[in-house]
Amino acid sequence: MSTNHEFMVPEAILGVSPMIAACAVLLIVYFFIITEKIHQTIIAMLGAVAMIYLGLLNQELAVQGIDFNTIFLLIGMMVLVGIMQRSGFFQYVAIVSAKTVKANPRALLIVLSIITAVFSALLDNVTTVMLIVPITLLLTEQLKLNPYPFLFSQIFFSNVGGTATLIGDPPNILIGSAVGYGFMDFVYNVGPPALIISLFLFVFFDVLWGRKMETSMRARAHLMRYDAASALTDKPLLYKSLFVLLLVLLGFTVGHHHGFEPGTVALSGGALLMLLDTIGVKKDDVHKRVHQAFHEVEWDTIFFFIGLFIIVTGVEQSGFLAIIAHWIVEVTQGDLALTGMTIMWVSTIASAFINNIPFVATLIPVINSMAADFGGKDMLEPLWWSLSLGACLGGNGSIVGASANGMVASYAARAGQGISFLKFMALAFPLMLVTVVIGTIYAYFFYYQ
Amino acid sequence: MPCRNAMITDVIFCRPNDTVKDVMAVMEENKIRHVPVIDENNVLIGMFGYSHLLKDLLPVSVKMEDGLQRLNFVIGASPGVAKRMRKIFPNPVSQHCFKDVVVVSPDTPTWEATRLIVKYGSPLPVLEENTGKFVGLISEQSLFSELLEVLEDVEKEEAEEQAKNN
Repeated sequence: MSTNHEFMVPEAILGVSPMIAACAVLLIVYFFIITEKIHQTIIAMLGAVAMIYLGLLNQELAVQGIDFNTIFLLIGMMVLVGIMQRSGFFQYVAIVSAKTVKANPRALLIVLSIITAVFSALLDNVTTVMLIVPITLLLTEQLKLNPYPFLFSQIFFSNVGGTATLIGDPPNILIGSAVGYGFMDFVYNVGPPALIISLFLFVFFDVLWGRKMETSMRARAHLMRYDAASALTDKPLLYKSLFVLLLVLLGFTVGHHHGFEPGTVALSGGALLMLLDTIGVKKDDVHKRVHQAFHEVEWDTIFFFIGLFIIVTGVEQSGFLAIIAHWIVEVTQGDLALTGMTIMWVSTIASAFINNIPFVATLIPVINSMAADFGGKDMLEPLWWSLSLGACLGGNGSIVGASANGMVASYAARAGQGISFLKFMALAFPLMLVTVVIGTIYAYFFYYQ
Repeated sequence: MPCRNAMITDVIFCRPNDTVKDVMAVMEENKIRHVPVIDENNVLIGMFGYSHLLKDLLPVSVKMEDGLQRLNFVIGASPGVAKRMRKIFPNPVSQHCFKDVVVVSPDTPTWEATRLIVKYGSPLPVLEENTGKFVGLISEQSLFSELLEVLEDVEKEEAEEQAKNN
């Protein structure tokens, strides 16, 4: 099969067809990601270069396969948040909220969940929980409460909040970038189900835990003495960060209509905040601050994405993903609703147990090649929202379902409050299924009826 | 010059089952800030000092890796912290001592010991290389007094050499 006029995939690779060779690489990479025998970034990079060495791609094609919009978006937001967190803003918000509800534990469970959901919608989930969990542990220790219900609800709300926006969760970033959906497309389409699910979860967690929580007036009085303003360590930096964050959000919404992609907007935001953060600072310190800002970028995550993009491109070039797509359409007899529901539920179950990033990255070209079967790319829209809901919400199914879950669990373990895999799943999996049922009903009425 | 020349061997130590309160009384009485925790077989269990106790008094959300960076917004916490200390007092010191200790051997050069003390703080326990038995401590003071003795020798030699040249 020829991919560009200079590059030819050989007819056989190590004695097998290119398609089988590409699938073998994909399966090996998946195997190691699931079993965690090799770090996911290492295996993704090895898989990517294997695609080149096996002759399925050349380096030029591999680079073309990398979705730099996603990469730029991730890097830009990581730089921005990395600088912003120095301001102490996140602790400030948590303390102010705790004091606003008079340190009432039942209300605290709800406000901390809201904070988690909102921050997760606007920032990366892992960053959000890294900021919210330590302060939660301090507040629950002060109120002598078991932190488990708080941590559990924060896992759920980080994933549900992330579902609502383009930048909230990696699957949405991938879908938005691949299909060209803007920030507001996500808000309009997956925002409402995320909101309905959030309301359901507020009630559920309140009935299960919140209404039974008790603490002493004395402990509450202690918390009321907290001085939130002292948590703000760098007010000028806070104003600069909020200003840039607002500009970036504005850029996401307005820029889309002018053809500016989110990656460009996020990178500009990162660069602008670095500039504002280093104005009037000594030259040596400027170097340090810029270095530190890039240090906050999770390069292992970035290279995990890069590796996956290349691997998926290799598999796509081999023609295998198109075959899968036609097979799905055949099985569902070309019924859009049935295909959509299948995509939603398969991604739900898969995302509950494996990292949803490689899964979504693989599924995107599959869905893309269904365009002819359903009468054009525009007809695929319901499928993208089904994929987004399934992959994002499915992440709540187990402690390994999303990287944010693992981050919460690791903090809990450090605090001597370890979250066990089975104990978490016993409640989380059925509860996650309920949220996906809500998503399914929503999708059915809005897209498939 | 190896550590054996610079170490203190007459060390005040405690046993793993001694209570924190008793050990603190011993530290107060002897005006020392750190005590090695040593079991009956002369094996080092850890180091206990005021700094380790203070660390244990901090909330777990601050102590843990990547935890809260500051607590300046918590006002009026002293009674709570004092009560926390009261809870720790009757515990065996082995629960609160620092176990991941950097150690040296009697044959470690003092130059290297100096580097370790500058990096990890004073004092460092000296353990026998093969048996792991506790033999003494090396501290900022013991290093300095050893260096002062060496300096005396150096000066004596220099004076002799000058006398010879004259």
